[in-house]
Amino acid sequence: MSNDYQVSKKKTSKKNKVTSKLIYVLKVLVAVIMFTPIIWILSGSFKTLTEFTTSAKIIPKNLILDNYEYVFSTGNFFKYFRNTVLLMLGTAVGTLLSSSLVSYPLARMEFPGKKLFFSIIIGTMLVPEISLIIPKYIMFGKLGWLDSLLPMIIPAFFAFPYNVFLFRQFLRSIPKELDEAAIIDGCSHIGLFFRVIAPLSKPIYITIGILSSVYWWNELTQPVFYLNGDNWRTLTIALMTTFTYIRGGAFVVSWPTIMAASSLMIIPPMLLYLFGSKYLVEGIKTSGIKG
Amino acid sequence: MKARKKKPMNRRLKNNLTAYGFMTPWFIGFIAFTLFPIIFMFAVSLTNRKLTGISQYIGFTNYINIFKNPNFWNSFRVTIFYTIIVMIVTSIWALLMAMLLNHKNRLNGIFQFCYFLPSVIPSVALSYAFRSIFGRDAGLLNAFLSSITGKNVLINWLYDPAFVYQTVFFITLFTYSTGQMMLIYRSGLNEVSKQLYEACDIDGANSWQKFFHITLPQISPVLLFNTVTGSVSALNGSFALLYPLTGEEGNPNKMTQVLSLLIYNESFSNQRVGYGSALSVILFLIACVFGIIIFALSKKLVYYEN
Amino acid sequence: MKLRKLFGLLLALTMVLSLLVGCGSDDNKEPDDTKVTDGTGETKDNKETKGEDNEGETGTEINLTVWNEPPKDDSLNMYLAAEKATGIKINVSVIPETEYSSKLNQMVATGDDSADILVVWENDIANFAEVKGIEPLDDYLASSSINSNDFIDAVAQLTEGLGATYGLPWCAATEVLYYNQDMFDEAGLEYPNNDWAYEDFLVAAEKLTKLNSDGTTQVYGFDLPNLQTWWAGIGIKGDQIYDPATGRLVIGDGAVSFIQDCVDMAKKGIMPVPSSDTSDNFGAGKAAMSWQGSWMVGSYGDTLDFNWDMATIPTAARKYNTLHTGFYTINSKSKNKEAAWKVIEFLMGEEGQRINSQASGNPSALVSIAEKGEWKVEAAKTVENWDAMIDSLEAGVFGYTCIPAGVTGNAVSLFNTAVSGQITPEDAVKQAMEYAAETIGYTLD
Repeated sequence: MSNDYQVSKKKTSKKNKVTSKLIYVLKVLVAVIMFTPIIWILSGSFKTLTEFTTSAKIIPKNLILDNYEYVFSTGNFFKYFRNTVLLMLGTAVGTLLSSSLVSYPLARMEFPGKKLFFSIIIGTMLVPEISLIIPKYIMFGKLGWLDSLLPMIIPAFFAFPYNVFLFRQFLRSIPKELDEAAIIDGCSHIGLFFRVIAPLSKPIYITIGILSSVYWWNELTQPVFYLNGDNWRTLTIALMTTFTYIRGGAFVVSWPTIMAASSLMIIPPMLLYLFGSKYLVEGIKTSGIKG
Repeated sequence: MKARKKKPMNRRLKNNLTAYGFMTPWFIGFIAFTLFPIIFMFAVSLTNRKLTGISQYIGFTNYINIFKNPNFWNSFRVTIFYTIIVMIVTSIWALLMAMLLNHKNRLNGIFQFCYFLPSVIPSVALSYAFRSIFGRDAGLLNAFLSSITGKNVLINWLYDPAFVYQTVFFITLFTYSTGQMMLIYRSGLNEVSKQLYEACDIDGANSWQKFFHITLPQISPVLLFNTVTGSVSALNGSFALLYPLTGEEGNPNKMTQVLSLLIYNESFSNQRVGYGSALSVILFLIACVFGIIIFALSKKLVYYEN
Repeated sequence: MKLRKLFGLLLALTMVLSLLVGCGSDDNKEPDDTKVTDGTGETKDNKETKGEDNEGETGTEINLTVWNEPPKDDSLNMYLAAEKATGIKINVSVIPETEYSSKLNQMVATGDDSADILVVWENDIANFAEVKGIEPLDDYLASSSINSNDFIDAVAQLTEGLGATYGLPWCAATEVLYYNQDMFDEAGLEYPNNDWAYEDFLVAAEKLTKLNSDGTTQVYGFDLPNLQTWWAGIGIKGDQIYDPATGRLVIGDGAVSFIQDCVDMAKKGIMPVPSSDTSDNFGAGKAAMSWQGSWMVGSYGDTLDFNWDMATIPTAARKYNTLHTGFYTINSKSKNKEAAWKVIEFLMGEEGQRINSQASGNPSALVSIAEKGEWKVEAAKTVENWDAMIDSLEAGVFGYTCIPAGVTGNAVSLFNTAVSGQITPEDAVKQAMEYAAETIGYTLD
């Protein structure tokens, strides 16, 4: 890595050793801070409610599986899981397809209005979703989309600015000579995109695929507004509702059940991360980020 | 001659049409899911629309009531304060983590895993975990502090006005947007040219000097990008984090009731959708102002190669 | 290549068109509002045609929306019993209590037809009736075995003035005091009875509190009132709380005095202060007494590690607690109204009410059924003072539940802030009143 420059100077190597030890300690400390909540969630999921509310020990007195049993037997865990996966896949497919298409001319073609459109895209990146959620809520209500996943999946097919931006960054980094060669060979832009550019852009497809999946797996705000009943409830909503209180007892928070459901919810994004971690840094190109 | 002249015209037209064709999804998306809602939001904000759908035009009454309402001004202040601090805190923390990770040593993969994992787990799960970690009677932190000090520490982290902000800002270090910023910093740091550092080594510069004279200017566009997205995520993500954490009332005493919580509270719990829309218009304007300020500042502060 | 292009164009075009069609209906503002009213016109047709359909059909399914998970034990599941009795499949959709009211409002507002039976709360039923989101049930009632004169008085009062019967109360839940008998024994105190004076309660709470050597609390005498029982405390002090004539929140000296008592108790460590990890201290054996809904009898059952019983909430200026119920209503958008009614008829009948009482511990709102005492939960073996339920039922009124959730939520948040010592009880009450006036839309005098 570019930062491993200490080798070049022997004089300061001793000082650098101390520095790098300090850095190592700092690294461990940050890791402990970042990982504690996850340990806490896991440990809490094996406690009884009484133990959870009376003791803060990391290791539970005796490991009980009742909380997991409760999560699987209450409500419809598998239905919520299915809904969340559908949401995740629907939005990922939508945004990968639309965002990459939209980013292509912005990155590799010249046409009137390019600058303007790109500025608008950057501009809309700054509009927080939450500020438009009430009008959208009424709008989707009139379309009859409420209480389904449509208000979240359909817009994904019409390009999210943030993803368009990341795609554009990556597509710009692919040498332009490729286009010229292909065009001379009689390939149209569409052919060029599907045959040359898209296959070369695998890292960014994977990166955005992962980021988008994780985002929608975790998304709470939009489901809170758009979903009502049990049919399309996602896991995040179920965590805040179905798994929050003890059976039949409104207002008595069942902490260990929340922790058990949370532990289960951590697994898929964790697997996604393990699968895609090497692409995550590779896919994001920051050169010429000013646009 | 004629054919020659015509051909480039055609080609250009075809080229432009292809480009617009590619962009069609965005055109539609922009009009249907951004532009139209903005106009519609403004229209609804001029009515006394209820959740049940009954509505009547009432002019600017909602705005007048909002500006008279101390709860709004509280939320307004909280939103701005929250957004600015979260933007700063998470940017710095993400940069710190990215720099630590770019300082490679053994087990780097595990470190990256530990740093990044909290940001990919659901924020609801995090909020609940932190509610109990920062609990008063059986919270992890108080237990830890008690075992160090030997006294019975009973700090009410999320309910004590003296601690609530520090606690909430600490929790934002674990959010999705912090993780994403870290990723972007990492690739930004990777793209800083090696020669620059080597040149600096020859000059005998120390690590601090390198950081301030090379790293920071080189990554300043990335820094700007992260600040911008950070402020949007702070405005946007505040709901998902705070709704399960401190409730729609923004406990304690509305100290954490950001505008997004107030919008939800008014539109759904109080069933005043028209009023909620007026609040949304204000939130939208705040976001615009934030964007303008950041870009204005960036012209002065960001270093561009070309 | 060309084909692909054409296909892409077609796809884009259809999307544009479908959107335009969608937006088209947005442009005129009426549809959404009239949709609800139109509903009545449509529904009449539905009733006739659908009614015939259902006679022949056996595999009918209906959806019921409620806030409680059905009990795990099949013999206590009234929906299963209803399925058996009517042959109609019932899908229960659960929306938890914290979001229930707002989600139901959204469903009615958008003309959602996914639920046939809505169990509607006290504060919503009038609004839903007004926008014709729910069906009047008088025609159905006329030819049914349910005797609507048998309901407890409070129910009759609440539904008066709607012009028709829109809903039938699924039960009548109250609020009671739960106490840990072991702790009372240890402290040498007499068990509370149904006429316990509020002053005696305060004294007992102090005596039951166990402090550590450093002044922190080991066992609280009294658990923090929850979102519901705050209002019981204010009610026993004599405040009206809800004025049915004007729909206003009416609190004052009583509220100030009760909040002040809570502030004092919190200061002395008798009562916990609000915190982010709120939990049931009574159930965990960390509080000797707590005020909660009568349904907790069913939840506690035999799961607690100590002996416990209940009593009427202590009496100060008067006896007071809030009645809780929900009304079985039929969604006017429902396509299965006849089937929905059959299910309601069963659930309101003797067997349905018996199972509900046994499962939840809540008495029936039908006097003749409540008198049978089926609500004495068998699993709650240490409970002897079952009279507390009847006594509370008599003292119970529909109070804060008739006020919008945002208003009462805001008020309780203010009360809690006062307990934490950040504002005075007087300010909390004043701000709560101002907020209510602003939100509901009236001016304070």
